[in-house]
Amino acid sequence: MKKHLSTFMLMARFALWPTLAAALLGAAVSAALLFSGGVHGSWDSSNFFDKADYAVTGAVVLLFVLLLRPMRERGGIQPGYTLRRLGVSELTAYIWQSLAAAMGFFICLMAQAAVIFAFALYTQAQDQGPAGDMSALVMLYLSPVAHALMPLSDWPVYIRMLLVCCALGAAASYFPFMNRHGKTAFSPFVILAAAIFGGALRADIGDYTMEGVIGGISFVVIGIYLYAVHYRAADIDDEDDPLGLTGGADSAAQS
Amino acid sequence: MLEIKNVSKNYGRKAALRDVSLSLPRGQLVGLFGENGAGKTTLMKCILGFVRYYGTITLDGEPIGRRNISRIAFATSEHSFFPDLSPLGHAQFYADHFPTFSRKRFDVLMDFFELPLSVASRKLSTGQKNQFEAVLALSQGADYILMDEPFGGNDVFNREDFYKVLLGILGENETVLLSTHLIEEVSGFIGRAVLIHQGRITGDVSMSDLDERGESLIDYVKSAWNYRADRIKKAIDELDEGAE
Repeated sequence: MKKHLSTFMLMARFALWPTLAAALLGAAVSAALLFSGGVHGSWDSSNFFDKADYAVTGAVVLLFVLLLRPMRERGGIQPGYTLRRLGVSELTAYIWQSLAAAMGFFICLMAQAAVIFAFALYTQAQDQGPAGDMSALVMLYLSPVAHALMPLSDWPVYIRMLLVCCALGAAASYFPFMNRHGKTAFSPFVILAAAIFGGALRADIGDYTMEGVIGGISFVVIGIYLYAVHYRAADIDDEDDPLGLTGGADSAAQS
Repeated sequence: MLEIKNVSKNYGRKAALRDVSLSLPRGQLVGLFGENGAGKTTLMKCILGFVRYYGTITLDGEPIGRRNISRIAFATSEHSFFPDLSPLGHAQFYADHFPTFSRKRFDVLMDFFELPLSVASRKLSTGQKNQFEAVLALSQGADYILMDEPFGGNDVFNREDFYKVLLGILGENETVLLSTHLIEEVSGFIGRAVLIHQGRITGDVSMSDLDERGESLIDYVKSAWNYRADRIKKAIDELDEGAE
């Protein structure tokens, strides 16, 4: 247990500064975009927070990029040599790294949620909202950006967003994993693009088909990455032996 | 006993190790010598299970795996620490993962090399990185310590100090397999020399045997590798003839 906690803490430590940077910068940009525009007397509730959408996307992209850096080979240093000598498997280390990254994405999105919530309350306090004392609630429900971050009683969105965070964490952690094996992974960037352009960071109220599709795809993505890491970790040095001329350490040891 | 039996390894069509067999009992300081590309690093990577191979490598009769790999430490000139983690963070991490980690030895060696404890390890100089890599390997509490060219970037005085410290701190059950090109420099510190040439073990001798024969390690290496001293003169003569 100590080894697992230690591995997770190591990964969390490396995810901490990227998370803080992306969360604070994203929140600052979001606040600037929302508050600088002032409170509108007439607006469409569904796109009221659209300005924040850019900040949410920017923060997620920034965090994703920053999370590609830790635990990969840099300046000739090979942390993989140490990771492969631990009492925990490479797959386990990858899972802890993914979980730390997923928590980073969650925190980053929560920072955005806090800004949006504050602006909704501010708008309501200015008596500029669409529904009096219920304005903040209505705005948060109707805006796809805000609803994804604060689904309130719409519980499928919570599950979907957690899965999206985990899928992004798994994708971001796959890059350094592959790098430790001397390869470059491009799939994480495809996943990031799909999340952004596929609407994974927005949620329309009551659209449970979409929730199911995005949640399902996220679940599949997580599963594929776990399998890929399991497979790659066992397939120790394929890159050194493209013709497959050598046997395996495991099989050799049994012979 | 670390037992390597008939180990072969290919990189594509190139043979890196050919039928290597070697036994490393506890309590030896073994020098592993070979030219660039001889297979020294590959042999260590095979022991650690980082690469696939033909043959058998066992530690006290058991295949090397997650259960017993903590009994082997590894210091490499490529460096294997976490670049963003401080030396102090490494000490804590190693203590969590290696029950035999010696914090006392870690502190003494860090102090000896005057290495900073709280900066990110990537910020250390090349020489300091080598020292830190060696400190971690020696502090892990492993029975077998594999060191692959650990002294690149360190000056001769630093290296001399390191050898002396190594001799002073190693327990009687600790074995060091030290891969280096600095044959003459380490000859006074090692107890056994293993030569590897083009992926084959071409020599394995104890330093006491060499002493009894009145042969220096470098002469032994030269004879084992069929070193042709006359080839330099021949090349120069050919150049001179060409110039005339």
